[in-house]
Amino acid sequence: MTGSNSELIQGTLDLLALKALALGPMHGWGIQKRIEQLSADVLRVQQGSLYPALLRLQQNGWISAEWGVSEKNRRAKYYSLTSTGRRQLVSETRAWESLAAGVFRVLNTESI
Amino acid sequence: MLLIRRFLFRLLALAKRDRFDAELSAELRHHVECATDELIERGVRPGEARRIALRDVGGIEQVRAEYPDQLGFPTADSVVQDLTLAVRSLLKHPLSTAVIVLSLTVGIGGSTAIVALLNAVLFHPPPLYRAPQELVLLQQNPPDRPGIRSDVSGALYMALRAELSERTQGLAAVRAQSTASVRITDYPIGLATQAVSPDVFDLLGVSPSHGRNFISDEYREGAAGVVVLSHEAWREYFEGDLDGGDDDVIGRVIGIEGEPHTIVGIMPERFWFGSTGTDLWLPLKLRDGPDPTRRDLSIVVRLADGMSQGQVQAISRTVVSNHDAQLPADERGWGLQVFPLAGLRGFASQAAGGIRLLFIVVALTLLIVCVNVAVVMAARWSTRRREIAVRSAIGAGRLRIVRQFLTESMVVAAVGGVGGVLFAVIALRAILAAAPPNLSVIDFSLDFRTLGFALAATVVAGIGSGLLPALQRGDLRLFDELKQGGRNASGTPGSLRTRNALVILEVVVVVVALITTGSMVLAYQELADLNPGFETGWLLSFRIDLDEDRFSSDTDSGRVANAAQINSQLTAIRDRLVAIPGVEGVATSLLLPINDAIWLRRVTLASQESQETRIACTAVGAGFFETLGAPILEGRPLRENDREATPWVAVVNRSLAEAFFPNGDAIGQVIQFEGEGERPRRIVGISEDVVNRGLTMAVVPLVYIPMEQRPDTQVSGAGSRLRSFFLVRTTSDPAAVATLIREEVAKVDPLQAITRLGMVSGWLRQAADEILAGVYIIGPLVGFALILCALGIYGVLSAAIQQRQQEFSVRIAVGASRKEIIRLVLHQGLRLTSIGLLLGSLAALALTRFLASTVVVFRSTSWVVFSVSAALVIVVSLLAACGPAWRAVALDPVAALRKE
Repeated sequence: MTGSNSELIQGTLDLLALKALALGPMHGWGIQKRIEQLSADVLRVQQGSLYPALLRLQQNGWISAEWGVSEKNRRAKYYSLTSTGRRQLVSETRAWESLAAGVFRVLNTESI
Repeated sequence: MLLIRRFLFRLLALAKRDRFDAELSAELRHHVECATDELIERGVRPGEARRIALRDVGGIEQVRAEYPDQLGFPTADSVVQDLTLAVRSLLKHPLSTAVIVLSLTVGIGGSTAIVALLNAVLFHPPPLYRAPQELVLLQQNPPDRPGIRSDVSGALYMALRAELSERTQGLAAVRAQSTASVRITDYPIGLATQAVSPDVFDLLGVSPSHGRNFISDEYREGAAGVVVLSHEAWREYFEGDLDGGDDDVIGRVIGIEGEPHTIVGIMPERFWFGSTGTDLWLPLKLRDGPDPTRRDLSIVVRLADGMSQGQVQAISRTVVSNHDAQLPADERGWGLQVFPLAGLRGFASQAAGGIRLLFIVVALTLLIVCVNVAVVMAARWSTRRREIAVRSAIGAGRLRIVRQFLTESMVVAAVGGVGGVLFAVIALRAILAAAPPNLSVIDFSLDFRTLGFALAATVVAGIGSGLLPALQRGDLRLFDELKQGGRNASGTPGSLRTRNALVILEVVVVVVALITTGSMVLAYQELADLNPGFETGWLLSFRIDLDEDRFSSDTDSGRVANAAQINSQLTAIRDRLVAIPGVEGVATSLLLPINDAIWLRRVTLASQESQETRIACTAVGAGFFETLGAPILEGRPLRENDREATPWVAVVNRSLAEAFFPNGDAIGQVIQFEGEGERPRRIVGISEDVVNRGLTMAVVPLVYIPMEQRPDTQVSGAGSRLRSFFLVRTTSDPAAVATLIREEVAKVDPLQAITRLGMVSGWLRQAADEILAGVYIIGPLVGFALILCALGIYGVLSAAIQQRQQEFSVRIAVGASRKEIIRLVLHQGLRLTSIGLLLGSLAALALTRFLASTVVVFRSTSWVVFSVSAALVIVVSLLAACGPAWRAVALDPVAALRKE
């Protein structure tokens, strides 16, 4: 209903999670926070889809996980980007940019 | 790569499923704690904060529920869930489920029954042999024709024996089964005998259940005759009770071919080697110079420890090439092959064609089953497209859906498989109860091999029929499906085409099976009607073996049968027989015209520009054609006055006349057989074709020459040239005449043995019975195939109608009459049937042609068979279409339309 609560397009969450992890290893909660912060709270991550997405990325070998201790001294699962994940991020970013540019161009044309 | 990685990941997850679950819980717990912290920082009360955090994360269970398609493989839980779902969904469509289960039951059951028969006949050495896997069979094949299997000559056996007996655990020879005249009571009876080398029983590891084995002395030339009985023969022909203690059978003397033989042993029940039904075993006496061209020995070798078939093959090859050098030029080049004993050669050579046919039919039946199930499953997929689309939309993975359908097809396959085995047991009982006695010797119980086949068939049918529709799903467009409400008229064009093609294939298969079986039944009927080209009623035949010592003389070129002396003896007997009251005609013949071996001779035909060929030849006495009742088509028969001194003549059969003298000018032509003492012969008559290689084989071109007009022939050592047959046509009960025949022959020569005295129709029946056995096996199978085909058509039409419900409703609503709807449905069914019929007929034509060239059971591809088969298929498919047609008409248009 609110424009800021826009749902993520399928596959976008994967890209955003990869991007969030590019900044450094992080646990699930942190990834969610990062995405929300980076998008200035425009994007909201559905908690129910974050963890399956992380599992999917892990299956594909783009991220790896290990248990660590958080800043609040809690046991947490930290995810980090693998080298294939980094490559994947680059190529997906490029694909996304060209897609966004295309969409943008179309929208601009229409608005005139 | 990615796929493999995902797979491995899942495998790992599966292995550590519990840990994975625990980790996921911990991770989510961490998430909730963090969220709670944040909420508290914003000033929410701790309890409330935790509640909100938990709500936001959606609850651990819900998140976990999102995983199953990604994490590991289906666990026991979800398999049970799938099963429940499958059973429920199957019960929801009871009709199509019944069609599937019935198809599977009949198909798997029918083919399992046949496989059990084949298994028992072909792949099972009789259970009595010790370590049968060590036993191999040596067989020869004509030059450059490895597909043909022949027995081995005595000479080659001796050579092989010298090389192989040391290097293996031993080898033994068994002469091909033959019929001997055996006198147990007053009348001699024809019993099946096999002559065996000394060690054969030991080699096979079977000892007599009573009495003893042969001893080496008994193999010497001139030793007193001894015989070992089969258990079955003892049961049938002797009253004595062995277990009662009084061994009144062992030691008894019976006459075999006129010679006294002492019974020394009885083999255990169900023992046989090479061919079933052997009544007696005799010691095999190989003469000094066995005829190298007489190949009549089965050679069995027991391999030494760790020895391979290849080694035996290698040794044998050397022996054969050395042996070849001693043979006449045109007898060289025969190959020698090694076979495991399990695929018994007797069947392989005699019934190869029939068994090949059986395998074809079994394979076709199974194919029909798979097609049937696939058709119905595919139809069901189509009608459930909407369900699938919805389930995909709410997040069920593709794998999950495929798995669901596989589960469904495996469930029906399992039910069908169990039903099939039960069906097979019942079918086997029924087949065996009705089968002719020559089948009943063999043990036909279901063993692990047969059950393994049933299991494999079940699994293949289950997976195949589940995957086929799943593969079709590739073209499923989710959103289109939802938009259309899963109602596109009759599935996508692609799936419709597949299903139609499958049904056409099914019809083709059934038509082929029907026509081949029909031809076989027809062939049997021809045999049963006993139309061998002559009149068989009250026609007796018997064999006379003239004593070689008395009727041959030693000359410079070896031992030669004295034709004149033989002829006078035969004439003397004939004159006596003619005088018996009730005898209408008597004729002699060198060979039994029905199913004896053929005497192939080199011949030059004047018309063929001195081109040499080999032609079959037999010598017959005066009155032969009249006694046999074989019509002379042109010219004259052979007469009393065709003597040694008169011009030499010959009568040829129709096949020969047509093959070599296509212009119809056979009469008057001159033929010249090769050989010393031969003279040119003028063809004086053409006779109607008379069966001459057994009823199951095509008539070969044959020359009949007068008994009197043949040169002295060399005695080959086997004494075969001194054998003659008599044909006696009677006007009264042949049984009474038979007694008189014996008396009269004894008056001419008290030492003269008569063998194989019996009705000619009886000899003919034997051949017919063999085919009948085949009909009994194939017939039911084709019946099953027909039922399956009907089920297939029914299934496809039902599915099509279900899909076209709305269309029909609209048609009815806008005024289409019920008749038109019925016609529409029947037309759809018949269109498929007729395409299948056409293709099937063409295929059958090709197949029967092919089979006719190998087994001549298929002498004629009759149009009757074709049209009866076609009619049967059409009627069955119409019947199958009636149900769906009726249901289409019975639709309530309003209800059907409302379903939209």
